[in-house]
Amino acid sequence: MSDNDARRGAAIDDDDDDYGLYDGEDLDGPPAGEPLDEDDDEEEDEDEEEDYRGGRKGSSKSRSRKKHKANPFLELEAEVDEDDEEDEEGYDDGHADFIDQEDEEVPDTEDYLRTDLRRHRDYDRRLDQQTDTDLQQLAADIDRRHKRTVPRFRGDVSARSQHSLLPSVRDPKLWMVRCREGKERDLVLLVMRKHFFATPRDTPVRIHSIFCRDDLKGYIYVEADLAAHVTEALDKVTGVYLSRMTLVPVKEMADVLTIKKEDQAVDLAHKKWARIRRGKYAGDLVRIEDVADSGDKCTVSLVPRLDLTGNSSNADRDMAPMATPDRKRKKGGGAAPAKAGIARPPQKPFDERDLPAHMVRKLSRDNRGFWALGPDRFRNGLLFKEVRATLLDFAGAPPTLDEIKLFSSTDGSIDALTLRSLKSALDDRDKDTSVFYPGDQVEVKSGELAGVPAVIVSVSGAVAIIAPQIAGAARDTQTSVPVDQLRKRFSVGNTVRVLVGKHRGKIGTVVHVEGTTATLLVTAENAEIQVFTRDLQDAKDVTITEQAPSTGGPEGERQLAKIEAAPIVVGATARGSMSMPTMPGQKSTMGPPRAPPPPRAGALGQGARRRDQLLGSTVKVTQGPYKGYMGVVKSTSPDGNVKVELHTNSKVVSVHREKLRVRDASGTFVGPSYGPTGTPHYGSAYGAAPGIRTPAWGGAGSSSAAYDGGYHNNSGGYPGYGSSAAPPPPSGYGSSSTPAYAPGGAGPSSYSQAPTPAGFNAGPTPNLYAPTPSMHVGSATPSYPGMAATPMHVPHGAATPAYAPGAAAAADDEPLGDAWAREGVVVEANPTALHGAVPYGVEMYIARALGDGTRADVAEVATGRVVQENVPVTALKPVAPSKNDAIVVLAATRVGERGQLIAVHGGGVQGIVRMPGGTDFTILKMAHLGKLHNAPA
Amino acid sequence: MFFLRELTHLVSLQPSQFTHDVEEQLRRRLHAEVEGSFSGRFGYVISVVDVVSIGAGLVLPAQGAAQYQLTYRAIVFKPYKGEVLNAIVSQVNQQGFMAEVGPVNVFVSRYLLPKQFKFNPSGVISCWSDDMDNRIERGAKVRLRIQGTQTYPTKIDAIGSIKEDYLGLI
Repeated sequence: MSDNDARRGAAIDDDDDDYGLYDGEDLDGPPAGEPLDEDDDEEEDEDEEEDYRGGRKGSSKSRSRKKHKANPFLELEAEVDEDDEEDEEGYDDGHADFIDQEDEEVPDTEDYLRTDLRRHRDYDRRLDQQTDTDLQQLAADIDRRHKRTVPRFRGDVSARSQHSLLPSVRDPKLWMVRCREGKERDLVLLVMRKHFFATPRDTPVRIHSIFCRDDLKGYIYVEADLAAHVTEALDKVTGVYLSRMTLVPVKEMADVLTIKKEDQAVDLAHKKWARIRRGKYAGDLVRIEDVADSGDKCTVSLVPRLDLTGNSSNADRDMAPMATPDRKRKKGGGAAPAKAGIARPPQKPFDERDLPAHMVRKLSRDNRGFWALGPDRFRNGLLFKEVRATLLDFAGAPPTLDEIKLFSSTDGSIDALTLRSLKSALDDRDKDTSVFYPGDQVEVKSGELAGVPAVIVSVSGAVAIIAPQIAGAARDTQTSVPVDQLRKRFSVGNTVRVLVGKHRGKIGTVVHVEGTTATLLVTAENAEIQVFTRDLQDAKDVTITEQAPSTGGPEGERQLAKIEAAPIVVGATARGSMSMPTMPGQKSTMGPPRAPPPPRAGALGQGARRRDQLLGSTVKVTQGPYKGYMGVVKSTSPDGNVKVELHTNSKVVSVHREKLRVRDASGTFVGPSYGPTGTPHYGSAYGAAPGIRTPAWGGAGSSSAAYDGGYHNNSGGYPGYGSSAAPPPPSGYGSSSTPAYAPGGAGPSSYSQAPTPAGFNAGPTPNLYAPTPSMHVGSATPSYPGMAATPMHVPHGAATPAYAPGAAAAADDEPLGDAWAREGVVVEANPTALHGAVPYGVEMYIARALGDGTRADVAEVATGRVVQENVPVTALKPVAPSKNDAIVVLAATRVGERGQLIAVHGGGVQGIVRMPGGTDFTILKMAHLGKLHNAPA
Repeated sequence: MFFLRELTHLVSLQPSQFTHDVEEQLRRRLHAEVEGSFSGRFGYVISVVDVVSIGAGLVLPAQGAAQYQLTYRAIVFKPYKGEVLNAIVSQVNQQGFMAEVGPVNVFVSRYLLPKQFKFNPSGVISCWSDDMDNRIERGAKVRLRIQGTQTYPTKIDAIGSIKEDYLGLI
């Protein structure tokens, strides 16, 4: 390496070359004049320099320094520092060389030269510093002079100032004075006149304000500092009862002036549909035809319930079908007909031809086409009636299509007007049912921002934070708006999914939007449907369903994979709720992440996914307050607690499973170490009985189950299988596969060695079996020194010591199967598979695992480009990881777990893997390990 | 919109096809397999323009067949929202009409037809017609604007509109 190269390289790389360190520090370090730091540097540098000089690089360094002199524009700062150090250090054996080189250029003595140089530089530096500070000072001054002292207006200021505007105890007080009803306004004006026309002889009106509220009859409000001022001002004013003057508490002062939203009266004008609250027509739908000026009464039309039988007892009701509740109560003994159990006449459009003779006699027709029957008027089959607004329920169940049809004209079809009014009726109810999710496109219905399109940022309770999308507005502007002021927004061409209702789950394209109704074209059915926009959700991400599986096009692209993943994201995270309708064929993988199962304590520990053997068994409590009680196990929980229903009083108590003894077939209670498997033979049978086999065992055809088991384990983590302190693994290796049971045929005698839980736990200590992790690392085939205790425990290749060898063999010898695809696994074309799906000899990785791991999208490692989609994994082969590679377990018991391959043993058959978060090592079959590709998949 | 794109395709040849005209075969296969195919990302491959390169044939172990990676340039077609396209009406019904833009089916809803068009079910073939006797019937040529697309594994569907100036029958 030449000198120049060395320096250049150092400056760029800052590598651990000595030069690099030297230069790098000086360049990056603080400017000279910070003695503390410099000292530190010096010490370090001194050491380094020693190294140079001792080493062969001594002369090369001096040469490079010379170069520097020739190029004073390069690395000036660095040079200065170097010189400083040199100076302070004095000269050691390296400097002789240096002088020789410098002699020609600088004929002066070194001391002089160096001091002089340094002085110059010091001066320069000081000058620089001064200019620097001056500039800073200047900038600060300008800043101070011209900076706004008033904080800028920000959106939230108004809220704060509102609060500060609220009256406090120091503000004038407010008195409420009783006055003559109806005279409030006059009195206020009178006081005002009194103030304006006051002569100097009169007492001045010293109140701050006087006002009245239209909705509060008989009171006026006076704002004044003292009560005396109020009395003064209202002195000699007739109609004011000063004796009845009350002070409004400070807290309520704001309420006095708060204008309440007008309710019922306004509502009536907007509403189109309502339901009758009480009476014969209770629950019936009415259409509001006209609203009286007073606002509390309206004319409604409804389908009559006429009793045409002519039954005399009902005659009165026929005459007064719209009886007011009061009248009803008097007549019907206080109960509505429906409630009283009297069948009310069915709804039927009025038809004068259907009327019985005795009613026809009373029938008359007016010039507006109304039929009059007693007090009721009919037209177009409908009964028209004036009712009080209180009788109407606007928040009742929304009108159904059938009900609406009864209102429509004779041909039974719904006219557009009716339909529109129905929609608006439903629209009014929008706020009750609409659900918004972050990311939804919305439009503000009312309020200040009415009509503004926006995107939901977040929703909390009834308030949504939205980002308005106004041209010119700042991008990050966000405001909070009540949810009921929002309406979902869709535009033509959007792909949407129907969330609720008859068309639930359908995906269509919006072809038309009118108000709150959208017309969708459902491509699958080639039909148009009309839905309310509030029931829709953007379905951009789920355009492709599994109903139409891809044949794997010739081009590599990820579209399909994305679609598969999308519903999961949408369902589980973005929505946070499971109420999301799932599409047919969609994976059931939606759902909250499963909590890791706590490690099982005690030998009774069972697989989490299997029915606990303890369930339903008769047990006896051995410890605690319920000691001696017998009961039946009702439920178990992962923490080892068991709900036992006591025989004696049918009380359900919670007892830890270790405090139980289970009654076995012979009727004797056995300790928990024997567990539910009272008979000695049980243990060995366990491994063979398919019924008890856990999913993780991965028998034939259970590849997906194995996945589940693995998933479970993954989150839970094995509590260090085989280490002495840890309880047996939670899943798949239940009570029977603990070491003592492992021998299978060992017979009862082996049980007697470890009959209690304590004995059990002590069993697999290093002393006995020595199954410590280090043990595994050391030997490829773990041997168990303590094996004598369990004579039939044959060391097994990949077996983990705590497992019954049989079980372990079954699990770990399991072939890779055809469902091992996992994202990120590096693969290559499987030479034994008769597929030409992927290029041979190219290193690829699984960009996307599909179909429960049976298929995958593969991408090239080199380019990250998707090579082929939807490839069956049989056409692929995982690339064997090498030492230190990040791996993922593809099969067997620990499927899905990730770790690092520490070493390969057993002639490349076994890999020693360290799982993250654990210090112990695991021996796994190399065939089950997949190398992880670290590029983003 | 049409694009000229460079794409790759894998072709495997059986040993029996290892003849002097391997390249020719590969080209033929490429055309046959690729033209008319669809991918969600690129749309429809309309036509292969030329073959950029033919990779070395890799004989697959235990199989004998050789695999070639072909890089080719092709004209691909993918409709985009807002795009104006000419289409041929393929089907007319009460809801609107379907039109074809090459392989893409575009549905024009009645809401996206100009107001004056009325559905006319009488006659030999039903059509949408206005008072000027412009008839949108099967086979008619229309110019439409894409309002939205929906991608499936094997196709793209689109919604179109002719409710705009300069759109409609041509």
